[in-house]
Amino acid sequence: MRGRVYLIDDDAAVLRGVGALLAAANYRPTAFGSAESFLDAVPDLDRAQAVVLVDVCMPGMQGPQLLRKLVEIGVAVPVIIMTAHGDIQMAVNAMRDGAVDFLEKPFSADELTSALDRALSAAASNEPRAFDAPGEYRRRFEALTPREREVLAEIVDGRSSKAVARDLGLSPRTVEVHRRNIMAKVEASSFAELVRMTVLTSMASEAPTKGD
Amino acid sequence: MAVQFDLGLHQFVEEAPCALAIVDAQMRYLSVSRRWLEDYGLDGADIHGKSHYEVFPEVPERWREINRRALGGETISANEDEFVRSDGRRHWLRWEVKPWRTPQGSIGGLLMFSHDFTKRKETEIALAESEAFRRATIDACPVAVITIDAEGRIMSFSRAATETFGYSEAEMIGANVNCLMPEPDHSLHDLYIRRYLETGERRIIGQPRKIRALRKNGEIFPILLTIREFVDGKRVFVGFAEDITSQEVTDQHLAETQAQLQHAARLGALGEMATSIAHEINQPLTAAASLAGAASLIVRKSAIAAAGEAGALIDEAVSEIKRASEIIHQMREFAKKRKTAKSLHDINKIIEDASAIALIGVEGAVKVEFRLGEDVGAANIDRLQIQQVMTNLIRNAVDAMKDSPEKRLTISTARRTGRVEISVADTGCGIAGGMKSKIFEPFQTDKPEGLGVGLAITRSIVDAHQGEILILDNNPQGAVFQVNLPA
Repeated sequence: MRGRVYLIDDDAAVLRGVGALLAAANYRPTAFGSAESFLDAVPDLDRAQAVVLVDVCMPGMQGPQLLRKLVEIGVAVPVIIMTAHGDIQMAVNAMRDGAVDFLEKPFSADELTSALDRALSAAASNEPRAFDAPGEYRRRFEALTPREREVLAEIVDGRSSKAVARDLGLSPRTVEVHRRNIMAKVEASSFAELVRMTVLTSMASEAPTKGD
Repeated sequence: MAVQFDLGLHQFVEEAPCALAIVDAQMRYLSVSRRWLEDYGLDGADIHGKSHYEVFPEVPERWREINRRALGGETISANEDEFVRSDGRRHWLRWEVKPWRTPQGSIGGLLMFSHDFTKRKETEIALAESEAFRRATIDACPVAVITIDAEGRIMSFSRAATETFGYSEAEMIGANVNCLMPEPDHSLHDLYIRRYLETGERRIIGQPRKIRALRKNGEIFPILLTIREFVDGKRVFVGFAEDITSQEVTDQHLAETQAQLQHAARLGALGEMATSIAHEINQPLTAAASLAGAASLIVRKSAIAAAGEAGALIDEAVSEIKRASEIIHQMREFAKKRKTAKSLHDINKIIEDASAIALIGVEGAVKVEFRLGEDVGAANIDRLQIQQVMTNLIRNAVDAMKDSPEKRLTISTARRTGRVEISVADTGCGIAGGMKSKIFEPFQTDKPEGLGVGLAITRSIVDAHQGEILILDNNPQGAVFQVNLPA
């Protein structure tokens, strides 16, 4: 058993499908149709070796609200948010709210298992925020040129290459080149990972200034 | 002094085909023509030997003086003179008086000729009066009135025509009417008339038509032209030309705004649909991808021979599912592209424009009342988007009153502290309490032909303006949609 996954989504087919995938990949999934029903069950749940996988957008209590609620009642379980494809802003906000990661729907088995394993191992080492090694990320980000940083800030905001090109007065092709260079320099395997790394790094560097 | 007239002379004078009288030096009639008697209404009277002044006591002093001068030897005539009789009748006369002399050479009296052209003169006066009346009527006409003959030459040019085209009437009389037209009509107009005269085929006559006209200063402008034809001895064409520049500007402005709004509405509907579809479809795609992923893992763990091949096929299915999701995402991104482009706009003006468009085809069916606050002023908004909000709300209001006995639409604006308040109130069926929160969700509609995205778009626009939209109950019936925008 690789770990417990509390899966929360309002769509029964998603619960069924993702549940089947988790089971096939040797996790122990428990499905909830709403954030409220999960919260009701929390006191009886085993929180050891557990991850919450919750949809960002549901009727009633939504994913980000659940995140805040869990922090409020002191439930220290890592939360991974599932977002609609391309909803980068939502993902960034969720990570700022305390999610350890996000997954864009629909995801492959590999994307799901690597996100879950990262979260589980970080929780196991009791460093909920350290699993992504922001220090290491920061070192990689420091290799970026000022222009690459500008491009990064824009694409992480969910802007298309074309829009970025217009904003920065570059050609779309140049933006694409910058984008590939950025991905290579920070060793991000996917755009989602690039966003995740960027958010974690910026949160880590914001922390001292915010914590006064 | 008595003068002898023989009978032959008498008869000659009597039969003369003109009004002729011969008097002696004391102005007594010696002989008159029958025509004289007829002209002055003296038929059957015997005036021989009577004084001219006894017969015509109304002869004015000025004529008596003329007669005295003629008796002194002068010959005096007038081409047009008016003789007012004691009973009020008027004679218009051409006359001549000249002295006649005795064989001894002294002046024996006067020869008086007159030609009465009263009838012709009265016709002339009536004509002049009717012409003046016609002219006054034409000049009072607010649209330009121009008459031309069959060669296209201008016969009259009304006061409004001088104002519209910038030419004086004197400049225009006799000129070819084509000088009031830009090319190609300028060159072709003579041909148009010829073709009409030859074929009788009406192209522009009768039907009001929008065409371009040319002012003296070279400006080309739109007119609404109506041409009528009448025959007054010869063919005459009358053109009534109304300058519709301002109307056209308004029409064009409205048409442009309408086109922009329709485009924005289509994009908005597409965006709203794409967002909803993206969310709705992404869920089953996620389930499918996960199920396939599970199948792939199970197959690979199993002992079947072709596990690797089956697993690869399933993985391929997963990547196709991801591609489908991406396509939907791109469609949503495309539709979302429209950004709010805010600048300062006069709220009342925007609402008037949007109302004009939303109320096209509704005229008369609904009583519309505007209560626009004078101090509303400007707010920082995206003009098109707020107009889209207004047209959505107004059309909804009109639709809601479809079956209401009283159809009253009230559009009001007011400035409050920190915000502008825009309300659209109807007297329709109203919105039940439970629906008030649901009504802004996409695909909520009670209209068979509607998509149900109008109010969803409306709210997303208001949200993008950091505003709020509220539904209130109208008194005694109906709903009020109130939009508050920061200002």
